[in-house]
Amino acid sequence: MSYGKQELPGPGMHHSLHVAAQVYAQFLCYGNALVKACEALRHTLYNRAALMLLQDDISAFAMVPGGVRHLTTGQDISLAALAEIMQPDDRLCMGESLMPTTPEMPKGGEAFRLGFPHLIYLYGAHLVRLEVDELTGQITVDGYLAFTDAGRVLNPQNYEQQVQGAIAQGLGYALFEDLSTRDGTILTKDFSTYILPSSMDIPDIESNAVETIEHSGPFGMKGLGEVTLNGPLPAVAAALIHSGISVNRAPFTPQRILEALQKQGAGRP
Amino acid sequence: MKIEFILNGQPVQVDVPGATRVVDLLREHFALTGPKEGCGSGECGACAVWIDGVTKLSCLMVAAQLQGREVTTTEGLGEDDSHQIQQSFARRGAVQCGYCTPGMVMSGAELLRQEKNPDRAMIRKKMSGHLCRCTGYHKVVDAVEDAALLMREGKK
Ligand code: FES
Ligand code: FES
Repeated sequence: MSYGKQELPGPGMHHSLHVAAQVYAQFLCYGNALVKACEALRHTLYNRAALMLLQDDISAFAMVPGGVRHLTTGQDISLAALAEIMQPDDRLCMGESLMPTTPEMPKGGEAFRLGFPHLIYLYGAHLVRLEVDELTGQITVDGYLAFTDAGRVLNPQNYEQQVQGAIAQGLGYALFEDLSTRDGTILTKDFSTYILPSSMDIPDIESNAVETIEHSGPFGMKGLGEVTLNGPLPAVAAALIHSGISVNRAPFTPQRILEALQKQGAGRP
Repeated sequence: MKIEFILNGQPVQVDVPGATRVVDLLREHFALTGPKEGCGSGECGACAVWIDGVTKLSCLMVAAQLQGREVTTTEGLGEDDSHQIQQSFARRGAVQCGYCTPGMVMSGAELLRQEKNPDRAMIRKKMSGHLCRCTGYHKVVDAVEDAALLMREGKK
């Protein structure tokens, strides 16, 4: 047995692919309600603009940055001017949206041991590359690749932010974060006992969007966040198992890795 | 206790108990809310400011230590407008909730004073004293790289 930091065998070291599915009923509800409320507000704005310009056809209006334009005459009215003539009640617009998790509740539900089916699912596939120091049990994550289907991408930068942030949280969950309690009291009360990953613990994270259009979602989106948080722990676990370190309890702290290595030690060359 | 120091380029004088924490002095007395208190015990880096140009944790310092020193917070980092690194953080999406950002920006700007062309590993090392729950650090590193590049090109 050789000691020290090792690249374990296999092309590109040991890596693991994990596929996750996640539902986003809440986001859809919220997003769709927001779209409806915005549409209601736009309708009110067109109405008030029509009133100001003595026009009767509100279909001749369009939103432009900072205001409303009457397309036929090219006249603009600023949002500030419109707001001035709107009563406080007019300025409040509401929208609502309902999102059943399943079209019909299945009778009894026996067939769904994993829970009732949802209408909308998100999908993610994660690939992690890591190294295990066999002397200390320390895991170093060297690379991370994520593919996410969260519907349409409206803002690629925000999309990546969600993916990268959630993966860092997921890696924290896999490697360090261990809330411990005794008699209902939290023992890990600070950052020296509850360990968050730092910039040294998280690698660059490559995020790829698998863009699909979810027709029932706001502008084709499904929503994004948790689906990427779910991937890292099983991906890291699978990578460890793939390299012959059998662990079944997270976080995969150096102690646990060493214990697993020692247990298997007998069988190693 | 009367204490005189330079705050973001301006000479100031305060009369506060010498044991007032610097983070409280800045936030409550001077209304500079850039420095944040995340942990209050030197673990998170959210309260970082410069003391004589060096990044220090303001939750671990007391007002008396400021006598005759120069204190810089994010508010005073740029000369007239915001510092290039602040603009790069905004443009490169390195800010999510923003709680860690003022501290990160101080360390980042300090690094760029010392090293014109830092690589990603150096940036990660410099930022390692700042915990962030939101970004996953990737875009923070991008932002510091970006600021370094623009500063080398002379865009201030
Ligand atoms: S508040 Fe000072 S390090 Fe956390
Ligand atoms: S942006 Fe939220 S903690 Fe860093």
